[in-house]
Amino acid sequence: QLLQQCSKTLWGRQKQRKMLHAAETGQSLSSTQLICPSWSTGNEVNTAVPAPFTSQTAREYDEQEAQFYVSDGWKLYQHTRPIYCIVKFIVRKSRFGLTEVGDLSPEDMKKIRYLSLIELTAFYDALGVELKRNRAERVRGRENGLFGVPLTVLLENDQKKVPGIKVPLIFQKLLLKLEETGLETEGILRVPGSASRVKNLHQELEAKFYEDAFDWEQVRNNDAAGLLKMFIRELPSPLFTVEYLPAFITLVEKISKIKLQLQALHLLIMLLPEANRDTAKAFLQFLKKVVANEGKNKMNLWNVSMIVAPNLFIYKGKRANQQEMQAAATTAHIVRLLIRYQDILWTVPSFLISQVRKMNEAAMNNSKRQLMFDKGVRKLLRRKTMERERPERLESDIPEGVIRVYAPLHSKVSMAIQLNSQTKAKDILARFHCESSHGSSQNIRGQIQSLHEIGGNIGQHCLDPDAYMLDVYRENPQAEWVIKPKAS
Amino acid sequence: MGKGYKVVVCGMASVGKTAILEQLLYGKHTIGLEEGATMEDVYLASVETDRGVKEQLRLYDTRGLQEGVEVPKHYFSVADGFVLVYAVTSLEAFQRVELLKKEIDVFRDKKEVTVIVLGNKTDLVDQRQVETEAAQQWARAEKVRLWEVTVTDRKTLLEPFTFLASKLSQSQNKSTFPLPGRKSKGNNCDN
Repeated sequence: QLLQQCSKTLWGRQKQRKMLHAAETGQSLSSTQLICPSWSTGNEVNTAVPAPFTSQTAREYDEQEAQFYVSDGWKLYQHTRPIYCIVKFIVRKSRFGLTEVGDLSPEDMKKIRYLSLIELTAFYDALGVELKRNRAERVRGRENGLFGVPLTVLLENDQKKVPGIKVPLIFQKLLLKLEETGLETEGILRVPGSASRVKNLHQELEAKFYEDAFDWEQVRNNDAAGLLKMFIRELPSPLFTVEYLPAFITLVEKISKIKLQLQALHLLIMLLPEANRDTAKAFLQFLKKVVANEGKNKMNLWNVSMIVAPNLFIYKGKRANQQEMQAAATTAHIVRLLIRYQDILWTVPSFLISQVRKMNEAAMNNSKRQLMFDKGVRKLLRRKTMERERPERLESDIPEGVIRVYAPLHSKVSMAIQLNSQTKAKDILARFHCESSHGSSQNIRGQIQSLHEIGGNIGQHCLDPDAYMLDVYRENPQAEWVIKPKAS
Repeated sequence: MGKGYKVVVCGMASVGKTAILEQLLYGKHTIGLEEGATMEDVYLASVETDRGVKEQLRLYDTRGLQEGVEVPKHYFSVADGFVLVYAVTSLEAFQRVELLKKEIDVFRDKKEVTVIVLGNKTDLVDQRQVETEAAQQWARAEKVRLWEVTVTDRKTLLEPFTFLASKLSQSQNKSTFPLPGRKSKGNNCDN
């Protein structure tokens, strides 16, 4: 009898595993018959958010669909496999398309950070959760070298070498090395390398990395993983910043609904400093790939999160005390959310973008009004506008709904296009693309170009190919429209 | 923006202005392909003159003229040259070109502009309405060069534009900011 029970359990586990795998790879969308009828899907995720202010935040997520996949064996393993692993959130694209973090200009991203802090404070407040913030200490890191150097310093050094780089070279290289050879290594990240080898490699890297004299071939995968974890641990201030570490932890401890957790996490990601956000993104993309190779490397979402969490969330300035040991489970949960939902977390919520637009508009009006107060300026302006008015008006006799798109890299440098409600950004790109594809401008071939919205009430905004242009145009009629390669 | 010569291409609707430009620049225009009406597109082309110098032309492809649609007046003040296009299959299009030439003469003031005329669609032989001789006679009287071309044959398009580029570079009034001393500099470059 015991044997029978055992086999039954085993079967249940296998079945569940299959199901989880399917859910995680997103295949399960079609297999709706698996949804357990007794499990009310809607309630869990679509509960009303408690405060009026969050209505905007909530709207973002309301459009996400959540589905639960529950198998027979579910109850047995409820403790080890919390439900969020298999909740699928989808962000439905708005008419403006999706905007990723890198699509906005740095100035606008800065405003997004301020706004998210406001939103986050209000959000925690509405949920009755205290938003604790550690005081950001001035940490003195090393000024040069690789390990133990603040991200911003590293980037500053690297930018001299590779302009526009956003993730430190050494970090990129470590990730690349692991992605090339280590993804299928069994127990990658978990199995430690040899301590002495890692120590030697560390020293060698510090000495040789910037001369490009370091031999990556000799590095074993587990040692590379060790170096990667070490890099993160040795950062003078944690990747998710000293300031907001408590906020990350309370979001799991005090908020129980997965959707609210995600919303809080989303705002937290938005308010991270740029260098931290970009580096974290690169790291999580890598972790996602590790999990995707679960079949070979035996590292599933759960394992990876347990291994990685202490490196990310234990701040080395403090002793690892009892409390922090308890936090291990909590932080692993955060890492799981980060890995699982990174695609959502690194898109900028559209309500924040429209707030930035309003901020910019207000700023413009303000500076204009201030100028007008100045009598001398007013006088001068009047003369200026009189002189200028004529050519300007002639230039802008464009009817409503027509935009002029510039493409400085094409031989067709500009085009006036009549928009209708169906025109998407990619349609406009296509109209230029068919010209450039026959040979005359080979130098730009192969490079992915995007339509950018520049000026008006936004600094710069790289548009989603699926954005409806008429809607974007109405949101920002003063913008210039330029086709150019996406800055990355 | 003020780089190169500004050339405005105009004429009646659907005489093949865009087709001419696309064929000239990319050599790949599908005949008879109905494209959407142009609003205003700008092409940047570098054309070799008869002296072997490459000149940059900014070609303004304009909206086709119809009843009630006039050439926006600001074109006349900025343009260094005009390409007037008609289709040999439409007498009305030719009359429109005659009118346009008169308009240019009125608006150009003392500015020197180069005008060339293209009669497109010579491949449609049996639909011809404008006779070659009559058109050329008018052109001689107006002192403009006129070519009959067809988009089906790219070679017919090259000569007019080479001529246009050469003529523009000779006339020296490059539409840059008229700084004193600029002219002599321009001379040095050209010779």
